[in-house]
Parts: sequence; structure tokens; C-alpha cells
Amino acid sequence: MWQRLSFYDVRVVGHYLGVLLLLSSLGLLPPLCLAILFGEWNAASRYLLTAGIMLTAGSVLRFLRIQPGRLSRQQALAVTGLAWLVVAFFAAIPLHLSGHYTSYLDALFEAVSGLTTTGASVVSDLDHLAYSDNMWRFMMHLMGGLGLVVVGISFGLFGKGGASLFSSEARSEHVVPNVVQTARFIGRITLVFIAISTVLVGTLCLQIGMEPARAFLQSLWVSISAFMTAGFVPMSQNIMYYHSIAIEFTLVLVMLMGCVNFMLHAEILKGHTKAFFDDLEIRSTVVWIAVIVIVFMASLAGSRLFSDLPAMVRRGLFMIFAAFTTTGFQNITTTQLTDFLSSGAFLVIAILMAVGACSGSTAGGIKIQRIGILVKGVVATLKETLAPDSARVVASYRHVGRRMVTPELVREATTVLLLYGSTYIVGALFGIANGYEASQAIFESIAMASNGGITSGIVVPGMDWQLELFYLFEMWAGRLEFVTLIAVIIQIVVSATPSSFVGWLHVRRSERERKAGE
Amino acid sequence: MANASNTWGTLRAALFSLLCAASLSLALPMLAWADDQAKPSNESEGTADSAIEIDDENAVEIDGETNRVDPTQRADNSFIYDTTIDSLFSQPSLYDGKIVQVSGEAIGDIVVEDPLRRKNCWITLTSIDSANPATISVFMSREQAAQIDHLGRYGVTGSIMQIRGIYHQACPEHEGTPDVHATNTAVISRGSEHPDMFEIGDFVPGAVAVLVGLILMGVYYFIRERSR
Repeated sequence: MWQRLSFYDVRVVGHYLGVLLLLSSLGLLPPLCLAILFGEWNAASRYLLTAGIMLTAGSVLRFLRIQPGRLSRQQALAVTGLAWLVVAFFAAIPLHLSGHYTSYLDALFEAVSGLTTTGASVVSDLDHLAYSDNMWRFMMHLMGGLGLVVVGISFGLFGKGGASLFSSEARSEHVVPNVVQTARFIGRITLVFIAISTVLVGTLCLQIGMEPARAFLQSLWVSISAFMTAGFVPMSQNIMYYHSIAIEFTLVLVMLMGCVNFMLHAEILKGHTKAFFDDLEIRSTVVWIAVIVIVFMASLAGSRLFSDLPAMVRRGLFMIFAAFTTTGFQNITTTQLTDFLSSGAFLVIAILMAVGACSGSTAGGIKIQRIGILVKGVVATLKETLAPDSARVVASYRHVGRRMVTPELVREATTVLLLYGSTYIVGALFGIANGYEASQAIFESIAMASNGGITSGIVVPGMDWQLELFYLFEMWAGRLEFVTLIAVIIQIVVSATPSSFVGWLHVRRSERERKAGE
Repeated sequence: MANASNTWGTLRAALFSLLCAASLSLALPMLAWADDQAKPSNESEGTADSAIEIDDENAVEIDGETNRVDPTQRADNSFIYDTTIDSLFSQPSLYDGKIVQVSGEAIGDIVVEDPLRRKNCWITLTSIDSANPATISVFMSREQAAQIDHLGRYGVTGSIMQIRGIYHQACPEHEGTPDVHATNTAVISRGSEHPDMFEIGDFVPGAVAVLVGLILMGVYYFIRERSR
């Protein structure tokens, strides 16, 4: 029996969606200020209008329930699942009005891509985009990378219902027992890394001759994008625009910091370096990257263009880390990616995005930890098969201490793996049905569902709307690691059936009769 | 009698030789002049003239007897391809290593190649045709880059430049960057600035919406406090 949303639930969910909308409207302040500072008056008026619309809509939604009370787990799932889409609908308004998007759907795609930190862009003429519009694109990365709900919790907006919300946003681990403190810790760590990266990349941008204002803004934006493992860039030539190995190297480090579990950041800060190096995910990552680098380089050696060592190291390693962290930066063109890389190297990039990086970080994909747990589970099953009947096989792994590989953990990992896998396949079939090459369609589907964002050329301005809608769904589902979203969809479907509506009317009539009797 | 006939024969031979020498001395300058006149038009065919000895084993006969092509002949590198940035992007193999001539708007920044020497730099050119957007990195000297009066960005249209140089789909000198190493650069159209004009009317809808939103927020807090 599926649990339905009652009318009370809908009102509470609406109230909290309004709260999140009001909070998200604060994100419009930096682009608005930047627009005023640089005399981008057209953009300034757009951001003021959007702020007004979001304030109004958010306030109206809050009227649905004046005293919402504590959020139940069911309501928290609905709030988290719907927040990403509701905020994206409003976030797309200034982008659409900028004239750099062929349709509102393109602007919505960009907003969802920004909030889910996918980083695939359908903007036209990016090089002439206003500073304020760029700032908004990267603010979406910042809010989405941290998690809309995490940001809300860190401001203490959800009261006691924060814990349910926190776990429903693909973040099950608490750095400290208090969920508000955990959210604030994540925010602080993020701001510190972005600040350090901005100084480093900004200095390098000044060295290569960029104007100070542009150097600062672009370094801030790419730093946000790198730490959030997102992928938007301010120039159409992507990271190749800077022609600087030093910038590429710095961004690789920042991307790697972004894809590490926030709990491990906390352990490092506490001085527990052993916990970091003993961690299942870190060890698995080292092995995984070592294997991939060997395979990728061997494959690249056979390609026509990147077979010489300097090109192989510079382009190859950067692309490996950009794909592994699901950031999606590129220092090669789309043509080079699809036409000049060997098919093996192309496939390796897709596999890297599909697997993703560490859990509890800003990265997307299936996550190394789940793969590690599944491998441990397989080994435990084999041991159990070979062991005598009286023996009891226990599998464990290290993640901030010793933990057991329980059947529940294996089941959760298997479920997520299957959901990701099936979405990759369905997305690929959708692409193939739209007339694209199979390899290209598979690559693009993985890039969307894993929030990797490296595009093989299907995601372009004015693309087919059906495919665009499906990719939009893939990004949304991938960011929430499917379970939350599927739960929300089921809730909505079962709650929207005629029988439930009749039931609701019946309850309302009885309430009215009871009140009249009183 | 025999001596007389021999002498006459010798004289005839000498006379004939003189006539031949005279005609040759007249004809050679004429041929040289004609060759000079014909030089420009023959230049593009020069390679064909010099490669006229077609290996009969490899020669392919087309349309009868006269049209013969040599399939072993390599592509001519001296040719200049007047193309577009979009074509370089979509058909990179076709132009790889060739001298190309493209036009586009200079955008973004002048990025120096080596921050210490600051001798050469990178310019990004974007295609003028908005229907086929594409960009290309152009490697040039700082002197050549100094021709640019505006770099394209929001509110600024950059200088439209015509670049001639060698295109690489993955430059061996720059670790695989697709670029054009410019030999000749020219600004064919100067850039311009078109900043946004401040119109108070544009802000009225936004200001009204913000006001409505703030009033609703205030009403919400008022009702919530009363209901406690």
C-alpha cells in the first residue's frame, strides 16, 4: 500500500516550498549588485523583477499553512524532490529574458543543469553574456552544489524537520550530530576552498594578462564550478580559453577537493589523517584512477592526435579528473572529443562519469563507496559459500571508523546502482530514437544522469524538446539519487487518483458537519 | 672541279649556320619575353608542369585520352583556404596544416602565452554568423594583437579581424590545442561600445513585484503572530 499525501501534507509541502523560494531569492542579490556595479541596467531590471516574482510566489505559498508544524519524513521527501524543479522554474526567468536562450525550455534546462551541478549548457553567444547573468549561473551552482535544503537548514529555516530533509537530499551523513551545525560546516568548508581557489586562479589570470575585474570574476566563477564539481564556464572555449597549464592544474586540485566526502574534510581538520587514508572510498578511488589512467593513456596512444606525451598528459589527465569528479570541464573541443579520441578513450570518459566520485561530496554518479560496498558484499557472499556451515562471515569497511557491510547497505547500493543503470540505458535509447549515434547517445545520457555534464554535441541550443525534457528529468533524478524523486512521483500519482480526491471530499464534508454540530 | 664543288658546299654550310645562329639569337629573347609575360598565370600550374612526368603505372585516365591524374600526388600546401570558423570547427581534418584565412570577432581577453616574456599571445575569434556559432584560438604576436581596438563582451562588439595562418586541429606546439598560427592579421571592421541605457520605466514592474512580495511577507508574519 503506497502512502498518499493528504491535503494537510500538500499545504505543509507548499509552505516549505515557499520558504525555499524566499531563500533562493537571496541568491539574486549578487547578480543584481553586479549588474548595478557594471551598468548592466537591462540585466538589473530583470533580476529585480525575478526577485519580486520569487518573493511574491514564496509568500503566497507560505499562506497555504500558517503554522506548518514539524515536517514528517513523507513531507520532507516531497519538499526536497519538488524544490529543485520549483526553484528552477523561477531561476529560469532572468535567463530567458536575457535573450541568450532560444526558448523558455532552454532557459529551464540551463537552470536545472545549474542547480543540479550538471554543467551542460544551452546558452547562445556565451562570450557576450552579461556579468550578472554569469553570476546567476554560478550562484545556481553554489546553491545546488551545497543543496537547496542544506542551505535552508544552515539558516535554521526548517526547525526540527531539518533532519528528515537533510537525509532526503542525498546526504545521509552528519559531520556533527546536529544537522544545522553539519549544514553550516559544509557551507564554511565550501567558502574557504572557493576563496583559496579564487585567489590562486585570479593571480594566474592576472599573470596571463586579463583585466583585474575580469580576472577576479572569472576566477571566482570557475572556482565555484570546480569545487561544486559543476561544470559551467564563463567562456565558450571552456577551460581551454586560458591556455594555461597552471590554471588547469589548480582546477584539478580544487575539483578533487570538491569530490571528497565532507566528513573526511572534517577528519582532516581534526588531524585524523589516518582516517582519511584508511577510508574505503579514498583507497578505492586511488585504485580506480590508477587503472583508468593506464587504460585511458594506452587508448590515447593509439589515437591520431593526442599520442605525443605532452598532449596526452595535459589533455588526457585533465579530462580524466574532470569526468571522474563529474565536473565536466573540458580542455579539448567537442569535435576533438567525439572525432579524434579513440572509441576506447571516449568510453572511458563515459564510465568515469557513470561511476562518479565520493559519496557525501558535491560529485554525482553512482559513487565509489557504493561500488566498494557491492564488491565487499560479493566477496562476503563468496566467502560464505566456501566457508563451513558453522562459520559466520562478517564483512566490514573503513569509513570514519570500522563499519559493517550489512544486507541493508548492500540492498541500498544495489537499488541505486540499478536505478542509475536503467536511467542511463533508457536515456541512451531515447537519444538513439532521436536519430543520434549510439555511442553519442549513451555518452550524453550518462553525462546527464550522473550530473557529469561533458557533452558530445547533442545538448545544443534549440535541441529537440522531447529529448531536452528527458535529459532535464535525468539531471533532476540523478541529483537526488533517484530514490527521493521516485518516492515523490509515486506519492503524487497515488494521491492524484480520483478515489483519493473523492476520499478527500468526504473527509472535508465530515469535518464541516462535525463543526456545524458543535 | 671537285675542289670547286667542295668549296661551294663549305660556303653553303657556313651560310646556313650563320642564318640559323641569327634566327636563334632573335628567337631566344622573344621566347624569354613571352615566358616573362606568361609567368603569373603559369604559377599555379607550375607544380603541374613540374610533375608532368606521370608514372604510367599509377596514372588514371579520365574521360578519354587527355585528362590524366596522378593519385600519388600530395595535396598542395601553398594554397590558401578562405573559409569560416564554423568550417574549421566542423571539418578540422580538411584544413589541418593548411594555410587558412578566416574572419571573426575578437572576444574576451588578450591572453599572453608566456607571462615572463610576453612576446606572443592568444586571441579568441568568434564567428560573425550567429547561425553557425564557433570559436577558434589564434596565436599571434603582441604587435599583431595591438591592432585590436575592442574586445567583444557584454555591451561591446569586438574588432572584426581577418586572420591568415596555419590551422592545426591539434597543435603539436601547444599540446593539442586547435588553433591558427597567424602570419597576417588585419582589422576589417573596428569594434564599438553599446552600453545599456538607464531607463527608470524598466525597473517599475520589478519594484512593484518586490513591494507586493514584501507586503505579503509582512502580512504572513502578522497573521502567524496573531494565531499563536
